[in-house]
Amino acid sequence: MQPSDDRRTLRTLALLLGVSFALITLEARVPNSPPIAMLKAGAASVFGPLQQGATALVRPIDGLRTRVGNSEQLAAEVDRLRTENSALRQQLSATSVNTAEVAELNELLGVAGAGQYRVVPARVIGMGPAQGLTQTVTVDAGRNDGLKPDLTVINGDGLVGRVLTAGLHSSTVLLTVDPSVSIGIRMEGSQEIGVLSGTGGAALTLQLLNPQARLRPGDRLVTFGSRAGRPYVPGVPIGEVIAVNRATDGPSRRVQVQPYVHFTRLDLVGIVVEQPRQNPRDAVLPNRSGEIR
Amino acid sequence: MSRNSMLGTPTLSAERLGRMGITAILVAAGLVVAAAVIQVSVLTRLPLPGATADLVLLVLIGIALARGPLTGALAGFGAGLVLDLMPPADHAVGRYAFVLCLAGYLLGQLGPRIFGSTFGLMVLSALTATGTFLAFVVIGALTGDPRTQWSTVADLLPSAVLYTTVLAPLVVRPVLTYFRPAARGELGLVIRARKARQLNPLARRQEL
Repeated sequence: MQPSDDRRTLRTLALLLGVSFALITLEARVPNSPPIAMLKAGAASVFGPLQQGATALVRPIDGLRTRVGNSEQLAAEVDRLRTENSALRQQLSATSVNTAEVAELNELLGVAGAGQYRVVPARVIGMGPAQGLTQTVTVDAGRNDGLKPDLTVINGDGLVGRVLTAGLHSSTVLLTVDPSVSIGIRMEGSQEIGVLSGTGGAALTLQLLNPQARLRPGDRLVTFGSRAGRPYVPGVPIGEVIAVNRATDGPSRRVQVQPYVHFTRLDLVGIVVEQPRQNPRDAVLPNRSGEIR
Repeated sequence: MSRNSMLGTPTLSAERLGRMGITAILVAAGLVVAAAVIQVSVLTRLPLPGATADLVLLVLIGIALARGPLTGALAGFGAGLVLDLMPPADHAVGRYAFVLCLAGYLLGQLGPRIFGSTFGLMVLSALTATGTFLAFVVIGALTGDPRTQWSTVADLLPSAVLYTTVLAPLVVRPVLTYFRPAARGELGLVIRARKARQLNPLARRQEL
């Protein structure tokens, strides 16, 4: 390479790094400023259909794993297990992808119905790689389906997250487990309120406003609800307490909460476009035997 | 001081090394977009623990090694912007653009030195995956991103590097072969061949 070419390359490099640096600085000062939001919306309209297509291509392969259970050579074993284990029987009954989807949708409608939410169903078409340190997913519903930022997202198990940005046909959802998320909560029964925070890991940490409140593993919690139901409508099941550790310093305790939703296996979700007129409190929590009241 | 004038090789214009025809640019853009979409819609669905293979980075490694630092920096910047803007990304726009632009430039400087060795490509991919991941996190930490948690980073780094390294021969090699100007019968053939041999006497002839 000639020295002049070297200089030209270095000039280009400096220019590109400068532009990147300017963008990062802008984002740090004014998060999601109008020009950036426009760029992102544009990218969403381009990449949404591509992600939808790619997901549609691989979904049958996902289903294949489940369908293997239907084949004849496994039928006998399935029968044997059926009689042995009633819990396993429930899982095995969902052998076809379609019935599994119907069940998932029913469950979603069940939760929505019990809480009198009106939901728009959507599918997950993209998940952010974990090394981005962001817990977000893309879903295949957007402004055209009535979505807008700060709507609550649920599925059959409970709270999934909230809409971050809504593109035309796809939207980005910020999951409850993202380390930047804090949610107001209410405990089942005691009605104590507190704040639940994402950790980036599988569990969430809970801080109750009343430090004396009684807490035991197994206690369940629902969303407290935000003003006008955005970003969180009230009464959505979130999870249950799995561990209460007294902190070595100070009076606070570290309370760990296991969410009901399996965030690594998200598929069908519902976006709450209309919230209940009355706060359902903890009425949407399934009764202890597992059915929705 | 540039490497080649030190070695006394015939000068090779950065433009010839770096210039991409319109077809090559379109193919590069298509590959980056495809890699980004496969990454978020297919690879993250796989039931594998930890992080996800960095497919976009592997495509960039191929392009930068084949075309030198100028194209490397430009391709890295573009690929980074795609990762910054494509949903469901929610980090400061510019973070991946900065990191991958720098990575593309540095990889381009290496030039054709490791064309021959698949093991070399895998080592290079592992190092690059480590470097870009850490650089991405450090920029977040410097700009006060509340999501920066070093324990999470330590948990994810091994799997991120492992998956990326495993896929490296499958992705980098074909991209490298496609974008190498010599392989496409351009004027760069003789010069690049001689230059590569001087830089790496162990490079196999047929690789050149």
